[in-house]
Amino acid sequence: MLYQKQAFIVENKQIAPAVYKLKADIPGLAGHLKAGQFLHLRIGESYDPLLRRPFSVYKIENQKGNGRKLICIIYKVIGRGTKILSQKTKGELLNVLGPLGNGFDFIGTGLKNRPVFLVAGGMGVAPLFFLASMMIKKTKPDFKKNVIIFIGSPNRQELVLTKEFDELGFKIQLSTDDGSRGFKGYVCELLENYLKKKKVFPLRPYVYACGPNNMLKALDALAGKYRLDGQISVDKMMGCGVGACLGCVVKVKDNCNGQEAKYKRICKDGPVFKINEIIWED
Amino acid sequence: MNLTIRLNSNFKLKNPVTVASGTFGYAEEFKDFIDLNLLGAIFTKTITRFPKSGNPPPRLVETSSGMLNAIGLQNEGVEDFVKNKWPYLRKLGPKIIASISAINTEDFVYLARYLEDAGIEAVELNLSCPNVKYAVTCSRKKFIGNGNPIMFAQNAAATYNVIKAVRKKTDLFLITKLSPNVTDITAIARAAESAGTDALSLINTFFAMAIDIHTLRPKLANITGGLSGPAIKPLALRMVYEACRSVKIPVIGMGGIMNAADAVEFMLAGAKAVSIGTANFVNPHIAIDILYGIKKYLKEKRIDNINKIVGKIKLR
Ligand SMILES: Cc1cc2nc3c(=O)[nH]c(=O)nc-3n(C[C@H](O)[C@H](O)[C@H](O)COP(=O)(O)OP(=O)(O)OC[C@H]3O[C@@H](n4cnc5c(N)ncnc54)[C@H](O)[C@@H]3O)c2cc1C
Ligand SMILES: Cc1cc2nc3c(=O)[nH]c(=O)nc-3n(C[C@H](O)[C@H](O)[C@H](O)COP(=O)(O)O)c2cc1C
Repeated sequence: MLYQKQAFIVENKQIAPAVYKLKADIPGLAGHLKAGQFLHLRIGESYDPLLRRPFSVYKIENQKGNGRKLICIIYKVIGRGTKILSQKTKGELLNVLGPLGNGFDFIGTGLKNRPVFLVAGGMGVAPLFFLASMMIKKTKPDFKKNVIIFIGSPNRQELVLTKEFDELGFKIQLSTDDGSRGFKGYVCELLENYLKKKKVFPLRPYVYACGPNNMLKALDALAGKYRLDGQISVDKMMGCGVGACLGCVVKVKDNCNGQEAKYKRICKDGPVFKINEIIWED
Repeated sequence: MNLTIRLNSNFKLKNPVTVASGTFGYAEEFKDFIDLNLLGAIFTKTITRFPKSGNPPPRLVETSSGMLNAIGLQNEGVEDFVKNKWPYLRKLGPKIIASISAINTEDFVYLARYLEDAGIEAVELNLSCPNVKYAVTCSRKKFIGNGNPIMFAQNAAATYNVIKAVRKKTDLFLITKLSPNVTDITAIARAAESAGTDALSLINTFFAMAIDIHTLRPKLANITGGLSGPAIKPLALRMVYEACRSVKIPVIGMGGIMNAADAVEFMLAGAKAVSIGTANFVNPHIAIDILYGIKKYLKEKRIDNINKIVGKIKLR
């Protein structure tokens, strides 16, 4: 079931130079959300910008005192829509569609004794944090031993949620493009260094990833080289968000009976796809 | 209050609010957001004879108060439609209008007959998709060299011929969808009428483009696309107005309708019904909001019958 609801903004706070955290009370929605699913937000009443904007849920938080569940997103201001969103204040309303998309498939026992890597680029940390929190709930404490969180970002200021991952007790490796913190370079280079050094690939590592398309493309290449298995969450300009307009497609390989590749919708068939399922076109 | 719209003696809509082809999928996508049974009619995404994979991405760009799309008629083909989508649609209350397209007359006829055999009552001939190449044999030379795809709806004779061919072979209620990318919409509208279409729908999207000034590349992989949304409403209204004055058959008006006032404008200009397109992406519940808004308008104006506003623009 999908819902259209009014979200009541409880907090909209800057947490890094261009990054904000928004908490909203959206009655009746929190219980239906899975890690990797997203909300489609109408930023304002105006027709310019016209379309909704998609954001992943990163956390569901219990509001102190009243037991209400708040839905949290983090977002980076990159254009007009996110700029307007960043100016919203407590008490304002946002029209929301959700939960949309199919989310990550937590394969549970399929991960037994395998190294698990969560690989995030930029705001891609958001859905992976939700996934990590859920893993904690669904697994025994020693499961964490096998998990490493790789987070990359342009610079140290925009490395967000590292403390939260730390608090959950995960091992973390960081990279920044400018070297201001952690490894200098891309997060996939950091991951490759780790794979080369540790030679864990006989243990069939499993990856959950989210980030810019270039990062996911690089990850697909690594996956081919090191026989990684896993899931990636893809970001693309989106229209309706519900599978009708066919605007946000990616080309995917069609495994069944050798048919030719076809276009699948990020919003409805994704945003999560299998590693090396996508044929990158742009 | 009477909201019933009679498009001809045996084809009527329970109200004038419909949803436009390609903006509402096959309706099921919207079932959680809206009571589909309240709609006047549902136009399906355009269906072709064989599956079509569509254009490469990016297929969609937002522009000032509008958007460009170059989907390229991605669909699973008519066989899949009848097998997998029609069973859901046929159980719904509103009239279901199957939008069809082809690059030649034979396939249009094939599609119409195939759908008629499946029990469909009405089709929309999409002669006006800006994002596919049509093989219009008639007067083709005239159009070569302008860089744009050639579409049936850009040529009166081509429009006439394809409608005539379908008309001869089926008893379906036929709606013909016209393009705004023409110098004289009335010439095309009249050609369609004389070929025997039962109604017209207009407008499809405007050829348009956008360029990324940093990469220097077009923002759409297809280079050009179709502009829709509130940005095109005044342009659409003018064309619907002119088309309505040039033919006797009913016209379904669309282009940038975002609210009830927009819808009433199209009806005052002469449209018997309206289609909601891009607005469905902004608010999946909007078609019903617009229906209620129209009712409210009629009540305020003490008008008991929706038909009394059709074409009632005062010119002096
Ligand atoms: C499923 C999904 C989940 C997402 N989750 C988050 C999240 O949790 N946090 C977050 O900060 N962002 C997230 N995004 C990206 C976010 O939706 C875009 O950053 C936002 O829509 C940009 O809107 P804008 O109006 O500010 O930018 P615009 O003014 O629309 O665009 C500015 C520039 O960014 C480009 N752009 C626009 N939309 C996107 C996009 N979706 N992806 C890449 N480039 C784009 C444009 O081409 C343009 O060059 C997600 C996207 C998807 C598809
Ligand atoms: C994403 C998208 C896909 C569309 N697909 C089709 C289509 O398959 N067939 C068709 O006849 N029109 C199609 N259209 C055109 C619409 O039906 C409508 O004519 C046009 O968008 C103008 O109305 P609007 O401004 O209210 O959207 C599409 C429009 C959009 C935005």
